[in-house]
Amino acid sequence: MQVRTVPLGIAAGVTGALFLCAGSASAAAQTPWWIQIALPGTRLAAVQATGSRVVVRTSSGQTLLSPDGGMTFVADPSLPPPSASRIAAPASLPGTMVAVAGDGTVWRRAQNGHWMQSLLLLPQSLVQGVPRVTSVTAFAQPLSAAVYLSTDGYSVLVSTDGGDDWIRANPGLPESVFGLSADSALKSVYAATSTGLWVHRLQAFPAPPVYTDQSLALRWVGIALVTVAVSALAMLLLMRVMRAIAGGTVGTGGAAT
Amino acid sequence: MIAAKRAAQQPWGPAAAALLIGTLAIGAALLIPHAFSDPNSVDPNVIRLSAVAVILIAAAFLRASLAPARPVLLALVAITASFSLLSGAPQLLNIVLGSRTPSPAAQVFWASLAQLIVTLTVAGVAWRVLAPALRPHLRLARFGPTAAIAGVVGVALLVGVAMALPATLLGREGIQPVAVARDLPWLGPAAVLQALSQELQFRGLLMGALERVAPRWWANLGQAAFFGLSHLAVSYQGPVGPFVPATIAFGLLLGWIVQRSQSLWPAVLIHAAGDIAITVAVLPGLYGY
Repeated sequence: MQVRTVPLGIAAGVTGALFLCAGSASAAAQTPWWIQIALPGTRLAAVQATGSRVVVRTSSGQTLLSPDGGMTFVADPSLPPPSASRIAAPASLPGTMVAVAGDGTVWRRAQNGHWMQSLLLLPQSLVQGVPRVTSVTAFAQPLSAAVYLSTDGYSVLVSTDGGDDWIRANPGLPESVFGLSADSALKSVYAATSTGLWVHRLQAFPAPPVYTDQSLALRWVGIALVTVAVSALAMLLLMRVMRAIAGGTVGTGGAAT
Repeated sequence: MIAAKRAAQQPWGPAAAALLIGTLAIGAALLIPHAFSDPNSVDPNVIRLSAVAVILIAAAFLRASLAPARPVLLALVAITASFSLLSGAPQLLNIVLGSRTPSPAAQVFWASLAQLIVTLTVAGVAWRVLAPALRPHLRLARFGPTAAIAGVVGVALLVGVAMALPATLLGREGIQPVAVARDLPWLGPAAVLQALSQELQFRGLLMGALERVAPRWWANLGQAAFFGLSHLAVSYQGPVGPFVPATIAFGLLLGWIVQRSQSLWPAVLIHAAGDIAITVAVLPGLYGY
């Protein structure tokens, strides 16, 4: 599945998808963007996922292994603890790369090899500082152009153009995310958060449904009827109110003609 | 003085009725289709709102009894029609220019210019067809030291408040240097054009018309309420929850500044700064998903 580039008017699509609509095209249920799959209530510090094998490190220092894509976990002290990734290169955009520098700044390399600062996070409030960038990841297989960036404060951000533009892609997810890992085999991104392990199954960004000609025409007819009816009612109401205000002498009292 | 006396003689009821009934009609046209259709996909440029406003103003010009409602209804036409054009112009450019269509940011600029032209056209119509006593105060001619100071202080206040509020409330979470360098040369001027258009619509045509017949505070409240509610039709890319209340408060502040300074320009400056700040510092997101 290919993640589509987010258009400027993404909010329109998101809002549209949420409204109760007639017709199968718009009534299709959306898969949640993030789903909590394991270790609820456990604060996790890092995650690493490869071919259904998921390893997490808890904030208390314990290393846990899941052989089944994060469904079940067992403690395994012999495993080296996963560490947060600081560099990501999506296979779908050869030559591009996003890296987190030692000072926490985010940089991107364009396909022409030019490096530029990609993202500058702002303070959370007057009393809170700038959130820490905790990890960055992308799919090693050409499944999606998305680069995922986790922060301790602004949850998860996604770029689908090699780090030029970023959007918040965290519906459902807590604001503190300490590690991310993309698993190409399961087409999933795992997030180690303050409330446990979450997963995002690769899917297209929400977009307004596209209607067939006939369906579109019927919907336009309905909208047009409502528009005409509402306008007619408003016109009648306005005339009645004007008559009442003028006390039967409409147009007098210095009003424009 | 003469204008003030004339204003005092005008009944406020027709303007209030036009604003209230116009708002209800536009609101109904915006929301009712959600019950049976998918208007965000079918009519993303909210042409239906423009249609309601155009039908009402046409009726007002055809029926002499609706003449006192014309100033407010003209303002509603300027707001809705120019918004539909702003929203739909990029798509229109794609259809007309095909592969020669400019970048998305350049499309927004040209759409903003079109919005200003439509707004100025409606303002010109209002100036020509309305009786002098009902012509809205546009306050475009005046820009003195008071207005300049009000504009600068307002921009500083806006930035200060935006930085003081929690980032997640407004979505002002980060700056994207690559995107800003690419888009701001187009989106910056576009924000100025949009700010001028919208100030002319809300604080010029609408508030200026209401002020002719009603006390200042009432006129300011009326335009600010409509300004905030009209943002229900806007596809804001940041957190949607605080959007309408914040824009009502912003509208009240801009209206107050325009009334105090007797100039529209401080509001244009502050509005443009706000729109540029949103372009630069608000990260869009999958809010409400």
